[in-house]
Amino acid sequence: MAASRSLPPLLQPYLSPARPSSSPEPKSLTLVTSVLGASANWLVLRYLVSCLSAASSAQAQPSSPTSSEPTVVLVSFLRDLTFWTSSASRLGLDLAAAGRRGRFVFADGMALFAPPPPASATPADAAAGTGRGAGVGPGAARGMAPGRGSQAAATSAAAGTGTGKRDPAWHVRIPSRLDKNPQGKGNSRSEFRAIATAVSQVISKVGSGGKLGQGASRQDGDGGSENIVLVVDGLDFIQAALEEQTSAVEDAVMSWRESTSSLLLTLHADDPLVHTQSTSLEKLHASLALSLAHSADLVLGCRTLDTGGASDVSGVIRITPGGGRGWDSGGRGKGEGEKELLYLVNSDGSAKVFERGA
Amino acid sequence: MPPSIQAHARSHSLLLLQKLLNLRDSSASPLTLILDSLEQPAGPLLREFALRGKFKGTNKAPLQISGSKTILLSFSTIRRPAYVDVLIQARGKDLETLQKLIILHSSSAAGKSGQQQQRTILLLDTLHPLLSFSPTVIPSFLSSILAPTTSCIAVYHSDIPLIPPPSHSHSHNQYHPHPLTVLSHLSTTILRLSSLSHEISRQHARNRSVQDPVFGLLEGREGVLVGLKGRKDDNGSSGFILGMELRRRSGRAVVESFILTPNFVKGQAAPATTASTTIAPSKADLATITLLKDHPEFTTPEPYVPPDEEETPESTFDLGLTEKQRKDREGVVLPYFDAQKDVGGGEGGRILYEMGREDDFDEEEDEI
Repeated sequence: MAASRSLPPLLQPYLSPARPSSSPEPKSLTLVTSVLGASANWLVLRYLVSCLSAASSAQAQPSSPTSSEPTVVLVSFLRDLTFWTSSASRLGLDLAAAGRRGRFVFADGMALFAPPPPASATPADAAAGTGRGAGVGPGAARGMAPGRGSQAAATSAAAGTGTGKRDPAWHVRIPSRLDKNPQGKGNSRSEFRAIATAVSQVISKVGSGGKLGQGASRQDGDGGSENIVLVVDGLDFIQAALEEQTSAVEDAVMSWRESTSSLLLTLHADDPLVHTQSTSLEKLHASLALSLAHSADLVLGCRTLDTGGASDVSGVIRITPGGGRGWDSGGRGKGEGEKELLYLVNSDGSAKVFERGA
Repeated sequence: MPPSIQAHARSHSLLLLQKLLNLRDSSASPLTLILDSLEQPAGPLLREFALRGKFKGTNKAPLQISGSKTILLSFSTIRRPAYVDVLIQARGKDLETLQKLIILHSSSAAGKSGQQQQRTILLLDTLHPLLSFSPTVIPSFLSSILAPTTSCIAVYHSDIPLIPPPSHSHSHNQYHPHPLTVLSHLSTTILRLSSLSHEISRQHARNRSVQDPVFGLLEGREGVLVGLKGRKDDNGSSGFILGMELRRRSGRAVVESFILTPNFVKGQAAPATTASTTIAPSKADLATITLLKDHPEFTTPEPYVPPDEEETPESTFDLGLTEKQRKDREGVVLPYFDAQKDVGGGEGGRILYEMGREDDFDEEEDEI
């Protein structure tokens, strides 16, 4: 039960991308919820590791991943690439290398609300790709918290198109809302639709075999879309920021699911967001979280210990089948497929998951 | 209640539910509303509806009806589930398009089978997108897609808050009743789902007069969306509780609770993608239905009856009476019966009293 850097064995039956063929869940939806005191980043990172580790071990053919290995598309609305790369490197996973091999694509949603800073603020990227992916925004906006520094917006909006360092090919930006209307106003409905289409474009580009780094010329059409793992982090934030109707977000999730083999969503499930339900923002969030839980195949909920803090336990993870599981696989029997485990995330990034009382 | 009436009521309720699940004739229930929650999603029940739709009518039925055509209007289902014939992706389509699609598919079902009426079962996996989009139009939408041969089964997730569309849009009026209210008035049957294991633990708590346990969202634990079912798999029952409220045409509502245990043995063996075409459903796949009252956990305990006075205590002696002994005993005339007979008409009781030595007789007070 040593602290591990890969997917803990107890979680492998639920999160391993290579599921046994007897329980196929094509186009599955996994929902990971977290609360303020119990972040789910460690889980998402380990999921990334488990998806990409097969490639790390077989580095012989860098540019032609076999069809059995999934391509991971990470859409992050709340955290930038630096966060993900540094956290992944602590787990021994080189996201940039995976990206160069065409196994990993990062879709940056952070630029949505932040104005593009001067190009000098851009952290250096090691490898400059030849082509730029779909929906590349001007300049770089990574590292900016949403809304911060909005005063500097208008002047620097046009900066960085030619002079700034180019993103690597596997780093795609979801176009900033400031691209079209610098005042940041606009029809939120169409804005959300633009985001959803941008993500779909990334998926279709990856799925069509046109590796983002090798241009769109390669059109194998080998059914690669069947093996895309999409991870969307912070979708609830986008909904809250744009005050989008839940049905529209659900539609986007459904369309993403159709073109990927599995989709993992992270949501926040704090009490004020799910239980209060008095203001429209709270209602929106609650309806999104519960609707997605109803259509999800698996719900993994991270929360803090009920009995208070402990030095050797970071939190509790509850694994339950979601409402989408019921039709084919028999629904939820008594105690079937559900589990509640404790986990501990150490300061060095390693984590272990264990049963209660173990 | 005498046992025969009880048995009759039991079979009556079970038949009603079977008729409802089979949806053989239009009078069963044109619009069924399923209220589910994260604790007990409606998936297994929808599957049961679709599965039962695959069967031909029994010989007892007056009109031989072939297997129904099952259409799933999908908002949140991505894969075509087993036993569903047509999956209509409703996402991003407006009501008129949906209406046309549904009518197209259901009428093609009716035309194909010629003279024989083919029934259409229309499943809606969630009503929320429709209701949050245009809450006031839904009743007319539902009635527009309900042909005489169509039975509609719609799922409403009762734990998701319904957000009305922005108030400036014309389709919403804040003085309208809640869409769920309208729906429950419209629907001919309401099925409420709850988890069997949760209900059992609630029943245990009630038996011990302690507070009911709560699950899932009600647990009050931050970060919990879905409740656990409990690990103790005694009985291994994977069923769920179905609270039926069937509104008959006469206006009388039949309310009964059932336990429905789906049979998933065959469904698990075949992969989901090909299941709908390859699996020939057999009667053995059907779920078993029992009354909730018949479940051992929910049977009302027999009220305590104090043992009968005349009950003979256990003994090695024979304390009973034969018929002759009983007659003889009744024939015995006890001495005081004679005295009572002598009393004249209407005089009532008399005090039979023999004077003692120390008593003194008072003529005014005493008379014998």
